[in-house]
Amino acid sequence: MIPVSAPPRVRERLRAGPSGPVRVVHHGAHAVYLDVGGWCVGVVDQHATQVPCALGTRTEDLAALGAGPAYVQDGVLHLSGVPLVVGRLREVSVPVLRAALTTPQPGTVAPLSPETVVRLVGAGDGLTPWGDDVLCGWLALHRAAGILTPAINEAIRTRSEHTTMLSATLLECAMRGEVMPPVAAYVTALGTTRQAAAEKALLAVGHSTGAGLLEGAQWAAVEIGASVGPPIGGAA
Amino acid sequence: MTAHVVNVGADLLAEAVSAQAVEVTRVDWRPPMPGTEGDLATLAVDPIRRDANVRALAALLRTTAQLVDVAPASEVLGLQRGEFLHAGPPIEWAMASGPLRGALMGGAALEDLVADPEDAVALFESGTSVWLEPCHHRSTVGPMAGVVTPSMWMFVLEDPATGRRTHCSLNEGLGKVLRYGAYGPEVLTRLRWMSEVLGPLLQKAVRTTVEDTGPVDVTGILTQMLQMGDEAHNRNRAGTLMILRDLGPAMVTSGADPRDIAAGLKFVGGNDHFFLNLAMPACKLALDAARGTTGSTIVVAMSRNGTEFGIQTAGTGDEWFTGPAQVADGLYLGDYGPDDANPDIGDSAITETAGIGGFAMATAPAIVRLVGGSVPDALATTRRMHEITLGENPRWSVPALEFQGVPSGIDVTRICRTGILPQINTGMAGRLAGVGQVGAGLVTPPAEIFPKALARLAELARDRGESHLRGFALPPG
Amino acid sequence: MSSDGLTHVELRPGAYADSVTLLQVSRTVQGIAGVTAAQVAMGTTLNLEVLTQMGFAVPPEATPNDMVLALHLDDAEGLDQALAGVDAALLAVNRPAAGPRDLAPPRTTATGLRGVTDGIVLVSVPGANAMVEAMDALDAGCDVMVFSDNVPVEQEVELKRVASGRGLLVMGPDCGTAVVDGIGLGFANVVQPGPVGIVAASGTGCQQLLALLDHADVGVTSALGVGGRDLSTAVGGVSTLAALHRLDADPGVELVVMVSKPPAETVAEKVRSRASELSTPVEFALLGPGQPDLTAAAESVLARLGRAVPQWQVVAPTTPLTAGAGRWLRGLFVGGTLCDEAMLIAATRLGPVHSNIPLDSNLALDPHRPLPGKHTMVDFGDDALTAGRAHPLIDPSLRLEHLAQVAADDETAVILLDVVLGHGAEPDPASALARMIGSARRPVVVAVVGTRADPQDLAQQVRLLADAGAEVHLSNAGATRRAIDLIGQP
Repeated sequence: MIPVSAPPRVRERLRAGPSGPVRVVHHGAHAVYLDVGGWCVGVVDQHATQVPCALGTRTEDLAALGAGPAYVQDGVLHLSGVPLVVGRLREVSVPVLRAALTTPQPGTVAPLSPETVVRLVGAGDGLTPWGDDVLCGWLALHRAAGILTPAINEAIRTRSEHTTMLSATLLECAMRGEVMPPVAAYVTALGTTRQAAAEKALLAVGHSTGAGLLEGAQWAAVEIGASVGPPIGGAA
Repeated sequence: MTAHVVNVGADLLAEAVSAQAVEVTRVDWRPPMPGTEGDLATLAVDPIRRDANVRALAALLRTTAQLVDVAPASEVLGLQRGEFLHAGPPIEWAMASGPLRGALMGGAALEDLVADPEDAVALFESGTSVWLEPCHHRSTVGPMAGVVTPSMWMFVLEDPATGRRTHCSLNEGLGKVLRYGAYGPEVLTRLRWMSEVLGPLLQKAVRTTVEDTGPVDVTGILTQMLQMGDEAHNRNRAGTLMILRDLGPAMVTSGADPRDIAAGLKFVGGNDHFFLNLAMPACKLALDAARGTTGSTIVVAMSRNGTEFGIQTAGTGDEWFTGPAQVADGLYLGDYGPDDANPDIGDSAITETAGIGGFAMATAPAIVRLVGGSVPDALATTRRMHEITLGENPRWSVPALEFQGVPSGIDVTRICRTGILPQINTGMAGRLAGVGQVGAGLVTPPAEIFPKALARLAELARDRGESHLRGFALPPG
Repeated sequence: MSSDGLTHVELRPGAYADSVTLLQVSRTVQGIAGVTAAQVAMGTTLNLEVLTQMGFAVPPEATPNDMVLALHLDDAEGLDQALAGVDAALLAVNRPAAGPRDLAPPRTTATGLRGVTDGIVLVSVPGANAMVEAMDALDAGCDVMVFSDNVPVEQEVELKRVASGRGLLVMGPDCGTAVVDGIGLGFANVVQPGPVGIVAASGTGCQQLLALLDHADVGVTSALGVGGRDLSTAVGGVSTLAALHRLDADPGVELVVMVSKPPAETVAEKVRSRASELSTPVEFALLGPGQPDLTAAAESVLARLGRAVPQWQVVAPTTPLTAGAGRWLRGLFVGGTLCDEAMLIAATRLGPVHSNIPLDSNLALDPHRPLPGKHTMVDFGDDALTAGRAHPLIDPSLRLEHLAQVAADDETAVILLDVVLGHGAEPDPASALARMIGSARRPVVVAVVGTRADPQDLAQQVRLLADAGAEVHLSNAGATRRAIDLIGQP
């Protein structure tokens, strides 16, 4: 068996679903993505981005494991017959935004609208198109600030068929405030001396994914008036 | 954010972490050497130990050795008639083994204290007007018996940053030589030639070089040697050729008789161990920089006199911690066997103390076969020495280990904790004086000297420490 | 020991394996045909005493660096086979030096930490050696958990003094449970991330809290152990204070819970005072006479967080339990704090309860002797019952033996058990218990302490026990009260 870490909802999804084969949607050297009941569940090793819909493993054999058949048995995902046993639950919730909130300056940026959402969902190439990454970043920062976005959520959901399954799943995660570690680190660093380093680390994610996330997050930051002053509650 | 667990103890707990998809490093822990627990605890909480070791290690790594002169021991060491330096910790004639006795006897004849070396036995037995002292006590090191007398010419090495100096005699070559306890007429003849011809020739060459191009950088030669298959204890071939290259021209223009120059060049070039007598004082020069660092647990000397093996540490001043010298385990020349071998002898373990010699075995695969091992053994040995040292020498690195620096800063506490003993690569002298080299092999210090040194370091820590350290003597067992 | 047969004692200098591994090897060897007694252990003073007590003649030259093998066989001819069995068992547990390119593993914590930047150290070597390894951790800037017990108190004080000066945390000594950044260390449960932080001077007390919070769908960020002696006057609560600070500084922690037995008065003062200065609220769960139990503490936590308090699940067997004819409550525990909690509850309603970890020294019980005509509760994790034996979380055999005895005893009114799940504990504690419960002729109440994601599968363990006829609770306090209710009811 191979021990894995899991975001709590991913573990629940596997346990709640039926036993049976699952389709491999994408398979690379360091990550495998599967269709589990219409949602994307990933398996990533330490070299790949720890996305919030993925099980995390320390195996170096993922490329070989992902090449074989995949199935779920009694709530446990199996790759090439090897069970991936959840030994640890991983925090994927975006941290609470501590940077000071000021009144948004009118006119500094056009707020995201449902019409813009339509143009963004699925816009771009790759497993996670640029437009979706921007939306994920935008959603993450809103959740960090405790702001709900029902209209935007609705707009995204109506367009979810226009993008990849992985990306649709990640958008759903973002709506729930579930993010990858570099995004969490960016939110924590906003308004502190570590902000520049966190931005740089986020930009390094994927080919353009990190840049998309950052653009979306920065857009949201301006929209909701998160300043770069000292954070609420104490020193940077 | 914690991402890595280091587990030391029950493997069950490491398994439990591994089952959570978390990186675990399992430490392969063993009980420490018996009786050392209390002293290890005392030193673990000595507030000055860590910083003292950092400073001691930095001082030894920072030192460079330059060849600044060659001159008689009477001049540079103030050695008087009747004084004899020898390798290893202090020893009396009565306890000395064959090779050391033979060397002392030859030395007495060399200085005209007696006409016939055999007559020197009575002289040393009486103990009148002869004095024996470790080379180490006079900033000197000597290979094998390591006997130094006033008329012998010495290499003088200097650290340009501090002006500190160390010394070593000129290497006689192989076969019947004084350092193996031979004292026949040909030995004395050669020694006289070395004092009358070779010494002055090398002095001229070295002094000229110092003026013209600057002193030979011995540390730099060591750096290059280690990448050329030498480990500087049992193999010094590349080093010897490099020193010949560096001093040759100045020897030629020295104005000496061309036949003497030719003899000198031939002598040096024909002795693959010639550079040993530069490697050793270079190592001592570096280690001496760490001496006197209060609270440091680093070993600054490992040394044998053919009867006892002794160590000194940076934090225990001039004290020696001694135990019986061991017989090396390895391959024998010709018909010789274990019964022919003398116990370990020589100051040459100063090379291992500085992180080369046996510690750098991974860089000298050729030597491994000489001592009866395999190449994987050589790599494993150097890696194992990293368990008992505090750092690496960035100047001296091992290509086969991805240019990792040699293990430096032997720590008494790590030896007592792990039971891993420093690995020395050595030649074996014949038990009977004058037989010469009977083999080469691997040897370690006797284990018991390390708990002794540890106990003294702990005692010093308690004496200078605050009250919370004093309560630290654990009951035995 | 019988004088028939053959006794074989041998020393293996230079051989080494850790104590838990050797206890498991000993157990395997005890099961070899023809072996009537066996122990394989390192030659420490304590182990040599155990061997002597078993009737073996120990060689005087044995040192802690030697492995000692002691066998008694009923027939001398079985020796070769027995020795082959020993070698096989040792080989089976000898891990190859697993690592990249087959490198030898590090030999000290110091060398093990080379190149590690985000590490925490877990120390479980014998107590006399623990501090040296722990200092390596502190010297490398790492927090350290000391699972080892028998660490001299002056060493604990010094270690914590150094850690304090460097802003590092020492969890222990004698700390068996911790959760740090979601990673369980020691005997620890798989928890959901969430807003609670725990500071615990007790392992199974911490585990009960983790479990109850999990059942109420409340997650835990970190559970920091401080060791059983931290709150004594000698140590002064150094790690407790450091842990409180650490959790207060963590933006993810909204509420801190402190779990312990009542500390020394001066230390309690200091802790409460420091807690009141923090920006994060602190809930105290200090078990003791007249104090709330762990379940009540969990309920207070939920209330302070504004979360609903659930009904703590109880799974009844098909045939509901009724009181039997006997008079005495027999508690058999693997968790020391769970045993304490049960005793405190029982004492108020039943009067004195005898135990090997009694609340009062007059109530001391020697578990090796026949059970007295009194209520009893035994902690099988206590030192006296784990000499020569692994902790009951790993090796349940001693408790199972006692369970068989009390189940067959007519004087037993009701049996109370705890089952503790999580990493480090055995993979299926319920099965062996279920077999005995099935044949017991007295009511059995079990408290299962575990979370939904624990490796043993909580739901299945509960089901196995209930199917065998036990009434299963998720609250130890609840189980205790229920067991008390079942005494003397017609």
